[in-house]
Amino acid sequence: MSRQLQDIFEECVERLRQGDSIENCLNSYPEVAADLEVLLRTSLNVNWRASMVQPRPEFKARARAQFIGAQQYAAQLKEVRPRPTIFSLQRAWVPALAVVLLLIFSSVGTAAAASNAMPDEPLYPAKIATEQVQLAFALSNEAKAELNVKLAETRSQEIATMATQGKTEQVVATTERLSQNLNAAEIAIQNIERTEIRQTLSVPQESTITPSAQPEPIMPPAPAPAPPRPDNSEKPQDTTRAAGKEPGLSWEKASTDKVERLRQSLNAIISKNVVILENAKNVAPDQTKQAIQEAIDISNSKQIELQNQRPEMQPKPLENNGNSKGFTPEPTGNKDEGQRPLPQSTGNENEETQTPEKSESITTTDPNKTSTTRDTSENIDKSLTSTTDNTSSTDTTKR
Amino acid sequence: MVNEEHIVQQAVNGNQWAFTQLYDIYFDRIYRYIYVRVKKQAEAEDLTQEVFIKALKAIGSYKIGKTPFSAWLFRIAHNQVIDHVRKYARNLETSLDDAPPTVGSEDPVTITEQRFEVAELNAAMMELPAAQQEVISLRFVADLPIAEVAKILGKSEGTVKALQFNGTVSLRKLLAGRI
Repeated sequence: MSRQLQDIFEECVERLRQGDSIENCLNSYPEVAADLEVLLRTSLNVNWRASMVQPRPEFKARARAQFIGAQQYAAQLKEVRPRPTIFSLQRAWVPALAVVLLLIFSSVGTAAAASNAMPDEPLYPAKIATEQVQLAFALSNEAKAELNVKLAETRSQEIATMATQGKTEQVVATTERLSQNLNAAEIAIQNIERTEIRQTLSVPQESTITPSAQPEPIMPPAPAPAPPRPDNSEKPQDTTRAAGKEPGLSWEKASTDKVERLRQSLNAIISKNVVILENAKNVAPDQTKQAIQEAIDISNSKQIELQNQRPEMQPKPLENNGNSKGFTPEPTGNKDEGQRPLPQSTGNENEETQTPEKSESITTTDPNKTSTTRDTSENIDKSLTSTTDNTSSTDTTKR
Repeated sequence: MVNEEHIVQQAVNGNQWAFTQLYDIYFDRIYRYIYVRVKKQAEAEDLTQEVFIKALKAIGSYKIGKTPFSAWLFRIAHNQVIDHVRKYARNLETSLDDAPPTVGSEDPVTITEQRFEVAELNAAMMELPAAQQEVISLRFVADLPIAEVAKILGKSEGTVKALQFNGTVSLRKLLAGRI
């Protein structure tokens, strides 16, 4: 009966989508009309409530202008060089960005105003949108790292300003953005380091971190090939041995000036952020102190993570690491869940280690799931005392 | 009237005007879907923009006829939401202050009532298991056909039907007296 009602309900939902009336549906199935009516009215009620949700007109207008600007920019890149290399894109970045900004904003004054906007100001969404386009088209990991470091500093200043004005809501929202920037910078630096390590070890790069990788947009019916398990990493290990390289020494060599410079830069910005936030906390109203402290905690934990991520402590891609979720996806019961088919690899490094199983099981209601942005002081203590392997495992899991 | 498939074809071929048309068609629905999933206005706005930037970057690889464009686009949104929630998982309880702008009136009382309706929906949705939330959001909020929902979620239509049915039964209880 329940199964039959499921099918009838689905049929009627579809008929309502096509414009039919509840009464017609109920007349078609008088034997289950009472139950069916309740369910259909519930579905319509959900649809009705959701239809009240609309984007803010000012956000919608700015987002559209931003999107058109991004389109122009993308088209310009294609015109400059049909098959651009990452190097050429980096060089094309500065003038192209200027074009984008000019297209987005009708005047230089507006752009300047947006760039200085604070989170409680109307132009702030335009500022964030501009940053998103910058990030979307920062193709190299180095560019991503540098941009995110810069944006983290901006976020910190915004938090301080909002805190002194007692605007807790803005402090919390901006703290989340700060955390995003710090995480993104960290991931980009790690990707640079991995790339260099691979080059040092003469191991081919994984396609998943190549910006140009374009997975199929929607999953085909066939089950996805299982991601490589740790115990299948014999081949690269052999490659290392065949090259006569000692893994530990190679990691040392791979820690280049570029990575160090970026790490130091990120470290310096975080230190500066902490000072700014501490100062803001001292003068802020009581209601915002907790939010500022959270931002301080995030910065501190990120700094500790960075200090722990010396080259010899990085997760080693050529070794078995049974603790790393990124290399040990759980067996999935759903045959179709094997892929995340959309082109996320174009800008999202987190695709690299996410398992489809995780994607399908995540709930928005679970406050217990850990977040990279919500390290508690306990986590900080743990990371201070953790062993090398534990640190590596945690970092890999987070990513 | 130009049909959507033609517009999509033009967009795949690099026609900016065509992609902007698709943007206009889907923007509100994508925003609404994301908002109901993340329940925060600022985050919904950021994620909505990211969805279209990702779509812009990937439109060249979209294969017409293989999957409806709406399913392709909502799959991007779905993945964005999943990534976001995974990274920033926390208690997403909302208050009226978190409610987004609503439509229909400039009367503060009406607006407050509408926000209350949305907040109630958010609260009820949070009581559902994750899989039911996903199906209900895509089916009743994004208003997608069941075949597309099944494709987006990588589940069979039978499974989606069952999740839709059970989710609706639960919502009926949670929203009792307000329907």
